[in-house]
Amino acid sequence: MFAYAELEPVRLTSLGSLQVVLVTAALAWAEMLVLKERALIGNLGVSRASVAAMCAVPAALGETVVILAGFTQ
Amino acid sequence: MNPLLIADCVSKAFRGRSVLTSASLRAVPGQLRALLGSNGAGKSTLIKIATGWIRPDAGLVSYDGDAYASVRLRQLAARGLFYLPDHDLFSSAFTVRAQLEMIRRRFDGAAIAEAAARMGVAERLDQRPSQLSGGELRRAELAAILVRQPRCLIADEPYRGIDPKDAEHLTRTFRELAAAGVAVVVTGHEVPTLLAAADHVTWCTSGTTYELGSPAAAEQHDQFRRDYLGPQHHDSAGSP
Repeated sequence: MFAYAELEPVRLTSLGSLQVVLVTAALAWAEMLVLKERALIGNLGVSRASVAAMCAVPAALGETVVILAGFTQ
Repeated sequence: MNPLLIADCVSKAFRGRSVLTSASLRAVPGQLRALLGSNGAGKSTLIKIATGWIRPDAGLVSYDGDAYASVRLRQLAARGLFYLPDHDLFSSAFTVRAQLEMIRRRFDGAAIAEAAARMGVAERLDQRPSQLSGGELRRAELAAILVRQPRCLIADEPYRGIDPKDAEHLTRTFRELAAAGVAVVVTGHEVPTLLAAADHVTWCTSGTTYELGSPAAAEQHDQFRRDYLGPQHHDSAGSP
């Protein structure tokens, strides 16, 4: 996708990084639905904020690493 | 005894089609309550509202004395409610053991091996839910309930798609939970099974609910007999 868009993956803009995090979080949410995890998560008493964090934090950390790697190049 | 969970005068419409107009549901500690009604009467919608799975258009849900205009399953689950949905309880991504372990750790629950052995799924713990038969899956879900040790259990059509032996297992477990002081509400279309097991019958029809009392009293209720049980039904005393 980056090649088609003629973008360099490690030199994304802040907006691009944010978009990557949002898309990844949306995909993680969709995966949760596909894996039929809503009932289990609800019965475990997990808050919506925690679920959102579980979906978004890994991508946010990854993007941070990519941005830092971009700065050091 | 006072109800632990109350869904009071709730209404719900989907895309303009009214499903519930003023329905109520109560879960009382030590009682197994059956919620009966025809297909499309709104039983599942009422159950979903009472457990915080969906929000009502109007009405209140109270749990252990606290009233909520809008409540989520996670809030009630943290206070001891367990919702057994009419679809999958377990994630398809993990083994049954891993998911029972999540419940045990989260709520300092009962021993997994003991619960699984009691439900006859000890040999299936290391398999994923998709590898279990319908009956085994339901018994694994019962093991989850035993691990959780809930104060209130709401089960939506738990008898669907299981054989008579597993159905008997299910009924026995529900009765044992009620005898241990758990507030149990079960829906379904298995009328003889539910009437034989229940302490109390609630009838959901035409968007509202009627508290019919004991199964014997329910069987004597003219409208319930005529509109739901039908002319072929014979009550527990054997009279038509």
